[in-house]
Amino acid sequence: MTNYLFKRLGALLPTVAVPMVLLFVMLRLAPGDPAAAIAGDSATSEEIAEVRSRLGLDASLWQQFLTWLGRVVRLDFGSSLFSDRAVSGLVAEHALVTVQLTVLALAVAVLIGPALGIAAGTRRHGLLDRVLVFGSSVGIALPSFWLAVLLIAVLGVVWRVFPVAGYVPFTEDPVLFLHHLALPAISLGLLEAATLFRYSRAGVLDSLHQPFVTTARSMGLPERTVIRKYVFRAAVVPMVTVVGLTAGSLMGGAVVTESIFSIPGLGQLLLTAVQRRDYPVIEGCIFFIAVVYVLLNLVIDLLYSLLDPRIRY
Amino acid sequence: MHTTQEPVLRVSGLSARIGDLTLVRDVSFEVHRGRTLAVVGESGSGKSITAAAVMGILPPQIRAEGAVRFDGAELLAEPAKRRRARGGAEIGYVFQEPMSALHPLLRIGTQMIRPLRHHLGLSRAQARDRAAELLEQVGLGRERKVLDAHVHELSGGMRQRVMIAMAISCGPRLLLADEPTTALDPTVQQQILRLLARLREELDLALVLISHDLGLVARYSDEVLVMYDGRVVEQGPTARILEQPEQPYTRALIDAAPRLGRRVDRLPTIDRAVLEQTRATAGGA
Repeated sequence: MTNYLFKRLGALLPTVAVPMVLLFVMLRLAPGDPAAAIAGDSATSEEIAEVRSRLGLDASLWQQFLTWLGRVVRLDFGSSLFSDRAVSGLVAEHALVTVQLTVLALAVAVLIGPALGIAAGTRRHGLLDRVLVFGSSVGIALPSFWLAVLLIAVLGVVWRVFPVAGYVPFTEDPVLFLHHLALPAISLGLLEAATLFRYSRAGVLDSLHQPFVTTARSMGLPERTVIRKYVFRAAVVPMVTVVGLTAGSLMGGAVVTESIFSIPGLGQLLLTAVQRRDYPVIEGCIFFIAVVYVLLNLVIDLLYSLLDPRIRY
Repeated sequence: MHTTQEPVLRVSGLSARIGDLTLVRDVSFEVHRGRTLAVVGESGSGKSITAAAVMGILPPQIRAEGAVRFDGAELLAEPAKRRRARGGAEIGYVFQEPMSALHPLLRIGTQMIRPLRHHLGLSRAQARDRAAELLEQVGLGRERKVLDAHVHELSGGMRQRVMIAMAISCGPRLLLADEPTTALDPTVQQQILRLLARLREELDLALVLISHDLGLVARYSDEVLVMYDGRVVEQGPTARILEQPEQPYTRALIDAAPRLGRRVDRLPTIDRAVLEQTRATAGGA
């Protein structure tokens, strides 16, 4: 077990290194010049060249790469090209917001998805099942911003139940914090619930006729107990993967939702950084997201061995 | 016959259909307390379907017709809830593959305790004690290690003993064992059959022993029912069936049984003419 853990943590390095190197190359290949952006629209070419050399962007690509590599292995991402703030501080501050949003969205998804999945799976081809399967197809097909805008229009503008945008830190006011994050969490969570619904329904259908479930029935246990303690127990294991991967994609991919609701999260930080070609900030964000992804995968695998006694490392 | 009291189970004219296809046709038999009926036939003969129909665990697309009287009640006419409640408490079922019939993710103890608490209203601690006693009764010793184990950690024989312990745990009067030894090696097969015979004695059970191996179950049964193609070929006291089988199919089954010390170059097969004749006449015999 400990051996396994060390092996996996060792594999973390190359797994994170590959996207980082790719990112370095792609950023330099992409059109757009941070020096020009920093210097402003009215800057002369001399001024732009001055900024470029100050940023070290006039060196050859190899030199830039080696300098970059030297800093990255020390986990030193430098400062933003624009605000002079340390990248680590920027990422930490924004990641905290995104983590909170992710947790809330996952809570919505986990509360809704599996419960409906069981309800539909045990009533296969019934009305409820058909409605939910249709609904989940729509949910999976819908882009998150569509639902977000719809929720804003109905719950924010027409009924005025929730604020349409903004963010209040939890430490400042927990109630306002939840109030502001409710709409984004629901719009992200509902769509993820659709995926979870799919998996849990399929899992329930799969285990509903397993021999060990027939055994439970033959022992005279009521169907409710059979479903909750035998069927669901078997269906829950693969769902851990889905929840884990969902958490990963929410950590890095809630960019659009964060922009719509003006939430100062990682997605927004990344989006702005990309728009301005703020290389250090982009690198810091991607590094953080990559590490989170790899660690989440490790956590999923460890959870697996807890949930399924046949899996031992 | 042997007893004057009512049989625990009396099946008459039982048929099972899936769509237009008849899987089991017009099967009748009875089992008394303390007696063993062996239901014998090859794969697809309908013996497992018959047992599942009695237990009420047929897949939903298979319909059962006829009469299944258990302790004076007509099971096929009962609502599903009532039938379910009889499971474990009145009728026990031992499955062929204990590996897949026991939950892979739950501890043995957890799986045994749940029915005990449900049917007998025991507390968690009482149910655990009772489960340990049951495991001892089926020859798994008094250690509680098995209770904390998962099914993949047990040997084939231990798994089937656990399965049997669970099936008898809530005091059934009828035990249906569907090929209980097929997944096991020969020495363990004999141990499991001896265990079932002993439990039948101790608990005064009516036992239905389903097998494809007439030679194996013959010495553990009082009566034999031979099935082929969903129908009854022949039934009667075991000794009579073994010594004077009336049907050529039954004789062929007896001859097909492997015997210790007899070497064969070719495995015995059942003649096609016998099968066709059996198919044509079975059920009417």
